[in-house]
Amino acid sequence: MVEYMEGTYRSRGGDPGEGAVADVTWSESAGRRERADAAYAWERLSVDPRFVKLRRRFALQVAVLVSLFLLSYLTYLLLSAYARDLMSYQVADSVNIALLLGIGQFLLTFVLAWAFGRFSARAIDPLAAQIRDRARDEGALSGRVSRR
Amino acid sequence: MIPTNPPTPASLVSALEGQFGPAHAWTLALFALFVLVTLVISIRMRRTTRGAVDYFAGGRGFSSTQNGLALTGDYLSAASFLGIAGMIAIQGYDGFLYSIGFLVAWLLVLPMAQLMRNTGRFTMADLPAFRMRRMRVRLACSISTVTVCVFYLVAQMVGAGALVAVLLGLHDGGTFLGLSADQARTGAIVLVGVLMIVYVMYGGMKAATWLQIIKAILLLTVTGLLTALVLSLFSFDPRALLGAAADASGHGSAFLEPGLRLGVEVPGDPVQTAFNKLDLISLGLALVLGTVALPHILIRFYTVPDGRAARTSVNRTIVMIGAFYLMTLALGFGAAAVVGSERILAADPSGNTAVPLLAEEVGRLTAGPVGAAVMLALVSAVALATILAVIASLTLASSSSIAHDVFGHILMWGRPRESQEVGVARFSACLVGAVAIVLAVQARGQNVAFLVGLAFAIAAAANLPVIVLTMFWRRFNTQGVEWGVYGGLSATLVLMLLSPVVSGRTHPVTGESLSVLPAWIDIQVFPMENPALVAVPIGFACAIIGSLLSPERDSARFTELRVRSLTGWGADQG
Repeated sequence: MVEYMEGTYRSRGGDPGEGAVADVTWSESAGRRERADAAYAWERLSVDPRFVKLRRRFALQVAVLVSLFLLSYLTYLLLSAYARDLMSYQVADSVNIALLLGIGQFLLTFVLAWAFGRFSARAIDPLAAQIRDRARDEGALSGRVSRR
Repeated sequence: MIPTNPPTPASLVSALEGQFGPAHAWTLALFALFVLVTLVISIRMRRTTRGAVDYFAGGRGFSSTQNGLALTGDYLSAASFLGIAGMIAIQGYDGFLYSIGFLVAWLLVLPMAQLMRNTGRFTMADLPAFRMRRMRVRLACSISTVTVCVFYLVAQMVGAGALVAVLLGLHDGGTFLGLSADQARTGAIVLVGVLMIVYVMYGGMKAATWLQIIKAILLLTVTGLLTALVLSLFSFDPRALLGAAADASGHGSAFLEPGLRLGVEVPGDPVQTAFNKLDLISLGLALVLGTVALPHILIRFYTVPDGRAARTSVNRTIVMIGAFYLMTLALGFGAAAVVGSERILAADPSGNTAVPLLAEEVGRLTAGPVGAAVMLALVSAVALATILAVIASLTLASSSSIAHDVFGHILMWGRPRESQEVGVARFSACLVGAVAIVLAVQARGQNVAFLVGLAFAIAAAANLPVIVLTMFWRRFNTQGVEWGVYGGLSATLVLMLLSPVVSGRTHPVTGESLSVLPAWIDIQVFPMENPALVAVPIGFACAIIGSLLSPERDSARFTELRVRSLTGWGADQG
């Protein structure tokens, strides 16, 4: 499977257990066909409705996380740079808005991380496990990451 | 002692001022104990390190809690432990901005950890090479990895030298047991350098990980102890602590607000003020965007069994790092209140001695001279251990990249024997270590704090576009990787070279240079100290334009990468 487009080099036999090392007795066309089969199998897997659901959930989750994070962090940065009067407003004895917002960033980070982990464990991991099972049943895909 | 100071009573003479005392002996003993324990662990790990997976990825057998601790250890360098607290002690609230940036950055690592674990094997270059399968891609990633690591390494090692010189009380031309400050610095740099080479050569990733875990536990424990002692002085009332810090700092309530150091408002110079504010935002961006793409953090995700464990370990890391930075806040303000910024500045203008001085003072207030010596020794030994652990990880990251990418995939056409690859990794650990030692010895005595910022900026501008576009953009290709890496890297370096950090800043009264170069060289064109705000967009633009200008595309590989990265199929073996 490892095809370098430059300096292509085939080991004679390769080390055992190195994953999908092309057998030297194969003709060029058989190797190509095998690659095409694998690509077709990946393509099929990627349009599996469960995978599409997984992809959308992950995208949504990341979008929510990153947008909340950027919104809060950039707000904080811009306030620290341009709203010095607001930041210096004392809420209580020597506790000002700047300190509260800073601690707030910490708390928000903890909450977002916890929520992300929980959502992933509930909504994403089971789906991924189902798709892995299906791929294993099909057996068309070499399970090993080819030696890169 | 700086002669202009009023004479201090004998009870206040610090161990940081010259004579060999019990504190120094304790520091050396504790640090030697740490080195001994970790070396024994390394030698034991050597026996179980057989193949490339063991050497580069610790056998992929660490639990998420262990890896979370190791990530914490990797991330908390001396800059975090001594630097941030020192900055808070001298400049007040602005040091806290650093802590916030360093922590919230991990929210961006959170979604990426799983994807990276599911697609890569040993190094950062594995991610784009999964799609492009070109040697040029590996070369580009390897160059940026080694650059980031070496800058970071040199900064840490020079920091170790400076720390030792300060601990021995050599900051103003004194001698210590016949050593001058210069000799002490050189000795310290060579010592930690040789130790780090031994760890990496001998134990690889397993030894480095255990080193990090032990260090992280020690660091969190000692920081927690010190924080509790400081708060107990103020009867656990943070408001009293803040008030005392503001009073003692001489800045009044401005000490508790942003703007003493970052984004300074220059009266009567609106242009400079605007640039200063942009600089603050640029710094905030570099801290946040650089973390995801730091090579030595990235390769940690390969040490866990699957993507889920990678994600969980980041969650653990966030909790530990958050706790640590909140404690740093207390330590920084505590140092300002208890020690006073005058003494801190007298010992070291960069503020790095704030925490050791605070430890000594707090120890003295709780348990007399013995307490002072013990606390100072604890903090100093932990600081040295911190530096040692971080540089070991950095050396491992760069030697992995040289062995796996340059040797394994470029010189050997992707078909090296495992034993060869590991042998080359051990050899290149020696090489990188030697280069870093030489560079650090050359730069000893310089203020190289900006190198850490530079490493973060390069990671953000050169590595981040490549990682993000590899994962999410179908059209990305070889030329895009090359343009992105080289464009981001050179943009950051050029902007840094033309910035006030390197030249052009002089002291308004004495005319001394405050930059790296002497005062008569002035090549400053770029007005900001932190290039990230400009360099990161350049890096992304180069990567995207480079891709669009090249006809190459391989949709099938992208589909495979997407399925693998999201489901983890095939990532649990090898």
